Amino acid sequence: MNRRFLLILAVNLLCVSSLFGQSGKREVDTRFGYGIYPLTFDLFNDNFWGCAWHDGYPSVKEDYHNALEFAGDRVSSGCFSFGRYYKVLRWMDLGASISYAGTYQTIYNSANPGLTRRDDYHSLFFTPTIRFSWFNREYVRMYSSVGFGLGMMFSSEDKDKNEAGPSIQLTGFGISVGKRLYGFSEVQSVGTLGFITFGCGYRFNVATFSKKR
Amino acid sequence: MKRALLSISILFCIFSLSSCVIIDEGDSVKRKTEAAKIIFDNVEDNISAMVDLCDMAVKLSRWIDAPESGKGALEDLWFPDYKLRYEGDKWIFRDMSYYFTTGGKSLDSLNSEWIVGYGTAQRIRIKCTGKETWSVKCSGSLFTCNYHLSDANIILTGRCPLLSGSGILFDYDVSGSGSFITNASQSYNYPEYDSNPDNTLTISYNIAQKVRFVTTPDPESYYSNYDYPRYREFRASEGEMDIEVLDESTETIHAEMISYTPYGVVKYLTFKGYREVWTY
Repeated sequence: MNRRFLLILAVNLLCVSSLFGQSGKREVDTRFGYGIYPLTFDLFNDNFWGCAWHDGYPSVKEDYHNALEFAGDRVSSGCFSFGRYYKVLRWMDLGASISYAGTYQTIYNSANPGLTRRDDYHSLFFTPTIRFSWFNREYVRMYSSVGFGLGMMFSSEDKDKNEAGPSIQLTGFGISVGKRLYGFSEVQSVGTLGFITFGCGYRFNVATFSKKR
Repeated sequence: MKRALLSISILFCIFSLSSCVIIDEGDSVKRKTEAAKIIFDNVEDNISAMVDLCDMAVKLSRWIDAPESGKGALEDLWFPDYKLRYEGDKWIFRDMSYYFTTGGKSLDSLNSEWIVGYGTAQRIRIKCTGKETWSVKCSGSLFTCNYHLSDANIILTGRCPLLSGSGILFDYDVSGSGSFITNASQSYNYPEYDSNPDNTLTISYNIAQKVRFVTTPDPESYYSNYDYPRYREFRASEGEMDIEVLDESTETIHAEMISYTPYGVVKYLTFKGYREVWTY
């Protein structure tokens, strides 16, 4: 699994850096975002969307264990992300985001409700992204984006539940308002960053490397 | 500019951190002895299966001993849904999984012993040990009600039934002990015994004095509206028993059955130091 992780990471970084190399100034976009309802790996465990799959009735042992405890609400922190994007063409940005999403649940002991344990999942994602700006004005930009990367999920309770897998974010419609300091929102989205994301960012220009002639 | 950026960042964090979303509602709060109820129900089912077989055997014995002129009425009364067949040295109820080997003796004769069989290996021995008293022993038996692998050594004494209804012969006082390993799976499609040890419990019970098992109408029976319970089940209605559950740790349950009411049996279950009343 570690080799696969490193290989995907290397490919992603190569893809991101392959379009650099032109001289001049380049716009850099740094943003902080928050997404609601991110898709994380724990949503696809055997307790799929809150329903336990069984071929028939649970066994007596399962019924007994289920009766010894009961679960509180499972709460999602949403997805906190930090992204950095480079404008490589007037209509295309390349970049990546690092994000965190957590889900938290308290499990109570039926015989002693004061006795609790945690069932938390912490997910980290690295998502290289291509953004297509199909409406570019000085203060308003509209775009769509596609991101594909890698993520890891850590369980607070059981190390066997730790998982690694793909990170995918598809955005149908995004809008940013502002010239340098801007706010943004993305809807029609699905993926590890969330169904709806919003946040703020800052754009600045950096000089790029130019080859000696 | 820096102040603006800092203010926006702080506001963003405050809003984000207070916006946790519930993605899955939790369970309703469970009673402290709910796990004990599950175990007790399985113990009651296990004992009830043996009481039911013994009851069937006693009725069959009395039917065999009855004069020819009375056999028809008794058959309609006690075995309304079965046809009796004598094959080889066994009595068989058509459409029932069990067969009864009598040894040619009445089950009311002292020391007479019948064997109730199921398939090729599952056997229960019923022996008359006194007036309307029988011992029931089994080892490694499976009952079709739940397919738990069972051992038992219990004594049943016939008593006047609590509920009036033609078709009921006795209620039974039960004493003794037994144990069973629960079935690892209870599949719709594969109800046979599954011995996966990772998903089984070992449960043992001990009735030091006696527990009264009464004949009650089966609440799930379509036919319970008839003037007598055609499908009946035995429920523990009075007495006390101790139960032990062997899991990652050993837990004990104390069950006290108080009385049978139209709303169910009133019982107290004590589990992990908590005593709660259940009526069902």
